[in-house]
Amino acid sequence: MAIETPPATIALSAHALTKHFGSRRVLDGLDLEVARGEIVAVIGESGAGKSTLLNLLAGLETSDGGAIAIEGVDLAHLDERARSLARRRLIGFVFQAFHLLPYFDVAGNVELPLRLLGWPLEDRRARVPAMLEAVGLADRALARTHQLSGGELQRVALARALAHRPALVLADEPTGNLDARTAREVLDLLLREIRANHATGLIVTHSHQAAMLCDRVVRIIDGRAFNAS
Amino acid sequence: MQAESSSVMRGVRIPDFHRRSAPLGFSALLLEAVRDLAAYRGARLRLALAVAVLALGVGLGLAIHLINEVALGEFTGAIRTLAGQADLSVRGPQSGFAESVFAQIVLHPGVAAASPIVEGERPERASRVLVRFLGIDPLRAQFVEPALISGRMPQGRASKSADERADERAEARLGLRTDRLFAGVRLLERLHRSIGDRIELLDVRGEPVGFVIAGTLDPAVSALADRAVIDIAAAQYLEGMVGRLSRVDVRVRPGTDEGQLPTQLTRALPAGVTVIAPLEGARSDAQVSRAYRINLSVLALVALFCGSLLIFSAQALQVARRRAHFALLRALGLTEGELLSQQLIQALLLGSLGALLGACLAYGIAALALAHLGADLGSGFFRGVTPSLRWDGTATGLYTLGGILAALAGAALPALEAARVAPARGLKPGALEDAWRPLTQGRSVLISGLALLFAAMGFLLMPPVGGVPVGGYLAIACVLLGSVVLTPRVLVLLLGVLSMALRRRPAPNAVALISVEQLRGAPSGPAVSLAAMVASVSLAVAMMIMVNSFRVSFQSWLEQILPAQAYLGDAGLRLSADEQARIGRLPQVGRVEFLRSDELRLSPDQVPMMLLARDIDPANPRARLPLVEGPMGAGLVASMAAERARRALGEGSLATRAVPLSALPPVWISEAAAALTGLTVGQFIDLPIGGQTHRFRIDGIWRDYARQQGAIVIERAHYQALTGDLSANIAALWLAPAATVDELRAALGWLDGRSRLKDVGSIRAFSLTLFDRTFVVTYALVAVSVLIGLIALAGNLATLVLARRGELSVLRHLGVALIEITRMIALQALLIVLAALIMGVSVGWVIGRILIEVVNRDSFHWSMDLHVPWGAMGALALLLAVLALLTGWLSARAVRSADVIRSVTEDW
Ligand SMILES: Nc1ncnc2c1ncn2[C@@H]1O[C@H](COP(=O)(O)OP(=O)(O)O)[C@@H](O)[C@H]1O
Ligand SMILES: [Mg+2]
Repeated sequence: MAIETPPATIALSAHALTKHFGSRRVLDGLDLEVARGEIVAVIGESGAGKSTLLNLLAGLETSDGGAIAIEGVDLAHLDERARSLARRRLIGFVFQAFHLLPYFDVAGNVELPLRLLGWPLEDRRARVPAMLEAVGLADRALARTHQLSGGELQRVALARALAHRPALVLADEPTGNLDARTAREVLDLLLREIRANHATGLIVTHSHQAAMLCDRVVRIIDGRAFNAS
Repeated sequence: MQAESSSVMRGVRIPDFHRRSAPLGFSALLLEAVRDLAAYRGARLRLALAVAVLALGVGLGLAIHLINEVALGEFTGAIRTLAGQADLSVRGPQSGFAESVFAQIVLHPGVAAASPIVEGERPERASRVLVRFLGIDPLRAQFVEPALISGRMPQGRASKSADERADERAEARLGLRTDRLFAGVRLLERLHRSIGDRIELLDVRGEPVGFVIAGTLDPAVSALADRAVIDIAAAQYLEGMVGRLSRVDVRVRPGTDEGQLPTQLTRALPAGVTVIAPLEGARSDAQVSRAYRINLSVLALVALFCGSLLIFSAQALQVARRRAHFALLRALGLTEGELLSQQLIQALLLGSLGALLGACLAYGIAALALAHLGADLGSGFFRGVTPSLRWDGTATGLYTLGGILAALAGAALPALEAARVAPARGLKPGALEDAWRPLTQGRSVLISGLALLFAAMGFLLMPPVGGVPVGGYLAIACVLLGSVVLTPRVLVLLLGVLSMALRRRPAPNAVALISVEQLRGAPSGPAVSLAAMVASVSLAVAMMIMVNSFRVSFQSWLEQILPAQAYLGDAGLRLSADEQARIGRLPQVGRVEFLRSDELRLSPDQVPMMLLARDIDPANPRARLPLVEGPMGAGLVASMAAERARRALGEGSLATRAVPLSALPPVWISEAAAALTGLTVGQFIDLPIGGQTHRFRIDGIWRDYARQQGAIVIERAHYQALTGDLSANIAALWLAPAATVDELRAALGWLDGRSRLKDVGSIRAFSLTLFDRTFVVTYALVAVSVLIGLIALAGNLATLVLARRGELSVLRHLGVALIEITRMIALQALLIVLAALIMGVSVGWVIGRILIEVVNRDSFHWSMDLHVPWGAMGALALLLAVLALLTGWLSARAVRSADVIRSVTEDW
């Protein structure tokens, strides 16, 4: 199922994606193209298949049909290990519940993707403080995760997601666990950092306001993606 | 957290504790406890295994108790029946004492009746069945041991009047002529003979003596089932004891001072002949096996302890994993006390289940063991006792209770922990670790762990109590508990070192780092099961070291104690001087040495010691005896043992006996004899030989694994001079050049099967087989310990993976491949096993040394050299490592499910 080589400006393309869970059809021929540097908001009802879409794009779940390419890499044609390596290099994840690893301190969490990619020490030494600086947590580098507030946790998570300069940032309701003011701060930060790192963004959100801040809004209905504005 | 609370939602009913007006009653709590147990996901196997180990502990402990009760009961019962109405029993050495002693006894004013007895054991000519017999004087026995003359004549038929039966008994009595024999029912079966048949017993000279089986002994008296009763004169003839007696049973005249009589009588008797109460004699005989029984019971206690640890680790992990659930219950209105009781009721249920299963198991094991190993569990004590199992309510109740208490003890801490969970507290990452922080960082835990280790050192100096190494056992308990308590600290320390080493490297492997940091960041869960593993590995290692040291020492002892190429004879054989000379002249014999054995009573309250009169060169005893270095062995441990022995016997008993000795003849005493008498090299010892006391110089102490009651070696020439007894029991034979054992056996045909020549190889092999049989229970326990360790590990990994699926899912999102996650978990399993091995082997080595140097010395009075079974231990380590990798790999498979990927949506 070869797809034609995408234009150099396309960061992410999904074509005719289908996904079933048992008899339930969650995605039904979904098409989506995102240009490099574009930040797309994904909205839809709960259970519409937004998280499923992100997992398929990241190669964490396998689709029942269709094709995906991230920066020209066709994930479906890779084995599990290669897919993991591609994900490690190309994608940064932000979760609703932050999900920092409790046994590393703040700097350790941000450093983790770099370690996984085998960055040399001096590069890590330069990159981690810079990222913490960018999210405004330079002074909390040695804090343990249970000492941080929700907003701070999510800011560390942003730093982790972008530390290794991924091509694509996937965020699944990144502000769902935060109060309105903090949510806005974190969202601004997320958009700013995605742009600053020349990455592409796909942000699942329930907030209309948040969606409006992105370049484009895609709504998932009945397993297909529609442009909404 | 959603998974947990939704599992509550998915339950049939959400308890609403707010609506009630009164505290929950027991039955409501019980219901909740059962409901809660049913909700244990993933931990069911673990709980089942904990229950199984508990059952094993109770089962083994109770089984050992039951078997011993049976054995002791049969043993003392046998003594009681055979002694009949005797108040006192006069006993001498195995070779007996002069008949004239009987006259002295019977004429004593305090004696109402006395009955002389000759005990013996001779083979039946045709079948080679050994017949144990009592030679009695029926006219006297009827007043003292009526059971012995309960013989039945063949005409005996049912439905007879009491008078008729009495007549028959009288007939039987009067009919006890020198050629008549009354046989127990079981003996008759073994002989395949019936009443009226003729049999021939071989006397000590190997000549056949004919008997007619005149009747059976009372089948209701089980002690007599395997014996025969014959006339005393016939018995004396058979045993070569004409003019001598084995014992005299005495009935005291009413009104006599029973306390005084034994002393008065003893004074009048020759040396080496003492007066004992028959049951006391039985008790001191049973004493010999007591150390062995206690050893086994302690092993059973250890199994209980491990079961308790497993319950602890199962419950602790369960509580850690389900904090959110408990918080929810608390939020729903369950009080702290109610939650605590709910958890304890669960432990009660698990404990009761385990204990009841264990009790059933115990009767099964006991029945099996009695059927296959005999009442001595293969140890060789209680020979000839044929047991049957009985219900023992008290013991069963006590052991069941012990099992339940072990379960409660294991569950207490986690239950308290569960109850303390704040209602509806949001579960921040790390909050779970906070709860268990005291284990890994608390100062009180550290202090109590160290205190336990110090206490252990103190207990090592404690003298044995009544021959039982209480101090040694307490020291082992302290070492075990102390190391279990310290395990989490040590784990954190080891992981810290590892983490530092990893971080030092310029580009550490990220997966390895995550593995170590994950363990280090949340060490409590792993630490809890590590504790169980350390306990089990150290016990396995301790027993392996002890048994291996014993086995290797035993083997080299066998080689030293049996230097010749072939052996002939046993305690029942009598080789006359002529026969000895004849053996010496055989062309197949290059060299021969003879031994005459006897039993000596050094004091009334002690089991008789063995006297071994043998051909030995006083200038070079080492050629024949495995002498131990110095007075009591070498080094610190030996001097500690000597110190304990001295304290047990009371100070000064050694010093007062030192005397110039050069003129005295030499003896060499066994380690047991040294410990029991408190004597050592360079002192003298008084021995009653040939009816008179003689003084000897102790020239050496030798290692003896065969005679726990103690043994003393003297020169045979000296023994012959003192007793005039030129006979021998055993011949040690060296072959002439080019002669074979088979040729020699053929040349000894004239012995007519009185004894069969055995080559030394088969004797050694047989002894080793017996040795291994004795340790069957120990081997089984080693296997069980290892099993417990693995259960702890497997259960821990499964729970760990389950509890951390959120974290693992994040790692998957960060691009960690499945194979790397699998490697990570396997590596963690390996790290835990490595830590368990490091700690387990060190602790096991210490416990093994205590078993060797304290428990064995004090229980059995024997020493052994340390031989660490490196090969077997390496195999154990390898096995554990492989199984760790395997369980790690299996646990990691759970991460593959889509469920795990999705768990990032949970708020964990
Ligand atoms: N592993 C799974 N097994 C079965 N059904 C699933 C699984 N994962 C998701 N679903 C279902 O797929 C649908 C889409 O889920 P999801 O993509 O998480 O929706 P959302 O748009 O809210 O993120 C839901 O109905 C969900 O129940
Ligand atoms: Mg979703």
